[in-house]
Amino acid sequence: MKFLRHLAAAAAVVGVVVLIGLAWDRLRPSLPGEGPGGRAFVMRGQVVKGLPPGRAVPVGVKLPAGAKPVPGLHINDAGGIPGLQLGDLLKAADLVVLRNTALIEVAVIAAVMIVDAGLRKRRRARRVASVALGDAPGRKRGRLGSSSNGVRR
Amino acid sequence: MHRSTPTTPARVTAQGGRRAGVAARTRLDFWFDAAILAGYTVAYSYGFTGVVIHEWLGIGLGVALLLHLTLHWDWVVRTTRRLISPRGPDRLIWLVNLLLMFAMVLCVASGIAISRVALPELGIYPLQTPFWFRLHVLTAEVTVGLVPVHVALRWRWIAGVGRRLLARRPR
Repeated sequence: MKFLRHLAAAAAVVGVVVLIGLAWDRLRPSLPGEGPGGRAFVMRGQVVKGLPPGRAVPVGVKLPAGAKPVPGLHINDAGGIPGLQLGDLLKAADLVVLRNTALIEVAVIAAVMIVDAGLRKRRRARRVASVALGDAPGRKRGRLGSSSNGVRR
Repeated sequence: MHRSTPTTPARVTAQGGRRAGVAARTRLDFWFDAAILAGYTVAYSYGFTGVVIHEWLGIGLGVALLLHLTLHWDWVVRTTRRLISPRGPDRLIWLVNLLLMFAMVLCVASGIAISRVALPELGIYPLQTPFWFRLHVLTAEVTVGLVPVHVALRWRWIAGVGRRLLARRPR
């Protein structure tokens, strides 16, 4: 019962965010940094999304046979989209893409961990210094003790 | 990676097994969150998965995220109430989680809106507009930055539970 209540609450929050997205699309369909006509950009050199009026297809982009660049419409060529056959997917050669994503995540995690460890060390040093000076008698230990999840920090 | 239900410290069982000492809820949180992270990493790597797996995995991630939010709803309520009191780390984690929730939900929703394989397979033909394409790309880029931050802000919990879960039972 508690789970269902929480599920309903979470679904309501998700619904609100989706509604915000729909309202955004309806009222002002542009993203920060771009005009309502959208902008042209190339993904992996082949996919074109949202060509603004009057803008030509970027150099190096191939269009499918018979396709014309329609302003504001999504265009892509077969070269930029992996095939739909299951055999075409998950090729070992494309593992580099997965590796790059993992590298980005590992790099950010490492950076945050280093910053977090440094901040904790500084806080601890400050606390030790203040205790040594007799600055804060009877002060609560904060979160340095055992945490709420049973893992010592 | 925030915890909603406080779990007890590792209870060493009569058999002396350390893995058995980790509460079931903690085990569920750990493995479920690890699966979401792995699924997200694969789904983000569009060039590797291709469109079919990308779309179905994305829909699955949407369901998993709703479940993740449900499992940690206690934490959401508790931390939101406590926001008035000045506690730096919790505030930062709350803010990161809020931004990530917005980005993830919009990413999945825009992905569904521009679906070319998964929804048409079910007989649903979503209306594709440039806005949803651009929103999908933007939110995907935001989430790839925020997901590792979300994970890293709980690295002590992850390291502690991971050590206990992966530790071999003494023979």
